[in-house]
Amino acid sequence: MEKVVRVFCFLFTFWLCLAFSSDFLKPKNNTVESGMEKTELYGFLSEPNHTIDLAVIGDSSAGNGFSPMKLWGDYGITSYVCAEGWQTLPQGYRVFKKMLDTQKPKIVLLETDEFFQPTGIARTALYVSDLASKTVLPLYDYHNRWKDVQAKEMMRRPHYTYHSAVKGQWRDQNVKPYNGKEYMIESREESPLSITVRGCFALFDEICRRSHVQLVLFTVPNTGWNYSKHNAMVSCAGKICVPYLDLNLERKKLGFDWKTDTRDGGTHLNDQGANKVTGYIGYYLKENYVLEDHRQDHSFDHWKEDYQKFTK
Amino acid sequence: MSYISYQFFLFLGAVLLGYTVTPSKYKWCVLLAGSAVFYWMNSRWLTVFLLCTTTAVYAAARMLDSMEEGFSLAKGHLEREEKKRLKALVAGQKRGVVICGLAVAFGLLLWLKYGAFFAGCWQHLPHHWRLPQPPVKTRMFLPLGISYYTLQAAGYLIDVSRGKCKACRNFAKLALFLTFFPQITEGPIGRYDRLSAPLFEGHPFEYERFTKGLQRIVFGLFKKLVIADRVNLFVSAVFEESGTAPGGILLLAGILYTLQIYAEFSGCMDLVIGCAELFGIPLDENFARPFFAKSVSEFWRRWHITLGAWFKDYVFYSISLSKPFMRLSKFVRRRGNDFLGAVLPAAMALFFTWLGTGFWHGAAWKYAAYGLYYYLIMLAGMLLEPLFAKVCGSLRIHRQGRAFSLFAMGRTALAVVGGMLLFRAESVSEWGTILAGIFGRFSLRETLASVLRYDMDRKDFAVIAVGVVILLVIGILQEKGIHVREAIARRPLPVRWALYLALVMAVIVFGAYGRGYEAVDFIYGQF
Repeated sequence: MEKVVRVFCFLFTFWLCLAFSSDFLKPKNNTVESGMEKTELYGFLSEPNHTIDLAVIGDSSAGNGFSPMKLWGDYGITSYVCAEGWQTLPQGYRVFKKMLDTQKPKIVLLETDEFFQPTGIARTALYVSDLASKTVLPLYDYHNRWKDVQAKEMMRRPHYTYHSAVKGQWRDQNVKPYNGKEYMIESREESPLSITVRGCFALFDEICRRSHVQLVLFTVPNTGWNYSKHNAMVSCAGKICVPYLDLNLERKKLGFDWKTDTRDGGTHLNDQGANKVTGYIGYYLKENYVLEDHRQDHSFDHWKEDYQKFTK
Repeated sequence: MSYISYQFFLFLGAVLLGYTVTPSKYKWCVLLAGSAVFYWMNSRWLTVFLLCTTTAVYAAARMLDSMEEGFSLAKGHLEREEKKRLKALVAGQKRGVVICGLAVAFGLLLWLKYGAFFAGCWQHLPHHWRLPQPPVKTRMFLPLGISYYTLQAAGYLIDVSRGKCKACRNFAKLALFLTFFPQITEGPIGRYDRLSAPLFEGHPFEYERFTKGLQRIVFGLFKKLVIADRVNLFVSAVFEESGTAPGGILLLAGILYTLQIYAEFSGCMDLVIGCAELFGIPLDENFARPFFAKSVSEFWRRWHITLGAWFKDYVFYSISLSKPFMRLSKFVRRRGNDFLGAVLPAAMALFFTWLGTGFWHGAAWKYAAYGLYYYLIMLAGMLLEPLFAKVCGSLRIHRQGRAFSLFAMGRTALAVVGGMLLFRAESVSEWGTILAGIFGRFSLRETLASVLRYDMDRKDFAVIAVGVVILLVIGILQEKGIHVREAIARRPLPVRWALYLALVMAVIVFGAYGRGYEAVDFIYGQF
């Protein structure tokens, strides 16, 4: 019994050391100079609290495929794209959780490409450990700041100054057409989802319900997509009764053209493609949800300034 | 799956849990299953080569055992002369079996690791000889730990043939001996007579042993992540510009590379031995504070101990005690030169030992040169020893004194740095260029002015300096016979915990991992 108490006390002391060092070394700003990793991803930290109505979570497909400023210009809806390359669902979950600290989005659009990132035992272990380490232990990400951090930072509260004028979008105007075959061939097959993905999706759903955020799944046009993945997402969304928009099947309605709307031959969209996707989603949101138009609201003047820069 | 990845520690935890809850009789099965999964995850279909070596060595050892048994049964009914004849016959047959077993094990090693090298050498032979083109042209796939498990398997087979241990009757147990997952990647190269018993008998969970294992693992991580991987920043940057870097910087890079390889390899051994300790399995030590060595031969008795011991037991003695060498020694002694009679067989045996040691490190001429570099230093030491003793005597230099010991340690360390530079260089000619750069472009002022230009700043150097001081203090204490872990365990709880937490936090905060750092593979894991 004595040993158990001793182990518990040791672990508790260790945890205190970790918590103290994490707090000490964690960036107190979201700029590169302050040591923040992926500043664009965390650009929402500098947005005024509770001003983002729509969160978009996803990998590079979402980063290139959605334009918050276009949505603002068309419908006055505020949104932010939290995208990172090869983002996995655990990573997306972590970012969304972080966003909920300062924002109260009404809707979260979850891009489904990250449901199909590579799997396997080793990869699964990596996802889980990555999520655990980065959530429980920010020190993992920021331990290298020991060189730059100063004692006075220790007690300082975070103050975020990095401002993303495009609200997380990855802008790209290059055009490299896709000349391949049609990739959405109807079938009844269903791609399997890994245990990690299913587990993490359940967590995602739960946090959305708890925070009263409507979850919407969507897929940006992508030639790496196929019908069996589509079927998997349909059944996944059906199980928890959330809408699913597969824009690969709505290309005609979007006016989408693989000859002009992709930057790299069908993997990612360019700005033109992103505008078409955003136009469709904006219309869908307007038709199905009540989201406030902030264009006449003076407290959103900074959005108007950003929009002017965007349209120049 | 690297030893310093999350996956490995999750895997280790799972195997340890399985080992703890399994009844003693079957605990070794958990280790075997864990080792099989670990090997399969790292090598996939290349596992077949490990199976081939295991099967060949298992079958050969069993045959040796049955031959010995047959001889023991038969000799009781035979006359002296017949017994002698039969003994000679069995000895010949046993030799044949050992050669076959070793041929499979080393044949696979030669094919997979050295095939491309030999093919390259073949292609450089003169064209007018009109030799056929070699079948192997490209780099072969290398199964995980082939250089280690081949030596371990060969050692086992030779030990069985020498009667040092009995052949293992259980194929699965032999497979475990050869593939035990903590040691498969970088050794230590185990001996069957010492390792088999602790490996096959189940050990219950022991709290004290568990904590000691963890302490050793953390210390290994400290050496690898805080010292070796941080030093790598400077070393890599300097060697990328080895043709133009100032001489002093090249020398510093050589010294730091020696530190890197020591911290990394000995750190890995701490990690490996600590992991095995969690299961209650003691592995052989591979390092004994090598930089306290006063000569190069002593250095190699303290550095990669199990490799040196393997070559000593199975190559050096096999050659130096063989009949032709003994005859040669006697011949020279009869001619009246006792000194040469003693040195000559050893010198010749050492040549093959060091050539083998060099080539064991890699399939390139620079590795042969690396082995022969140490051979020449040792040979010079052997040959010049009488002269050196005479000079020291006439100058009244006390060779056991502290000052001379320090001088000898420095001299040995310098020789080792030279060897490590050769190990790091791409080729022997590049080594020559680096050495020429050290002597030709040496300028203290330029060195001091440019030392911070190579990816390491003052704070990095400070961390490394503190790390080196810690290693030095621990080394001095160990040289004095103090068991550091036991000494810490006797301290009051707050002191103990402060030390443990400081070490763990040093690894987490000052470790060169994560963003901004490239993961550095274990150098000795690539053999």
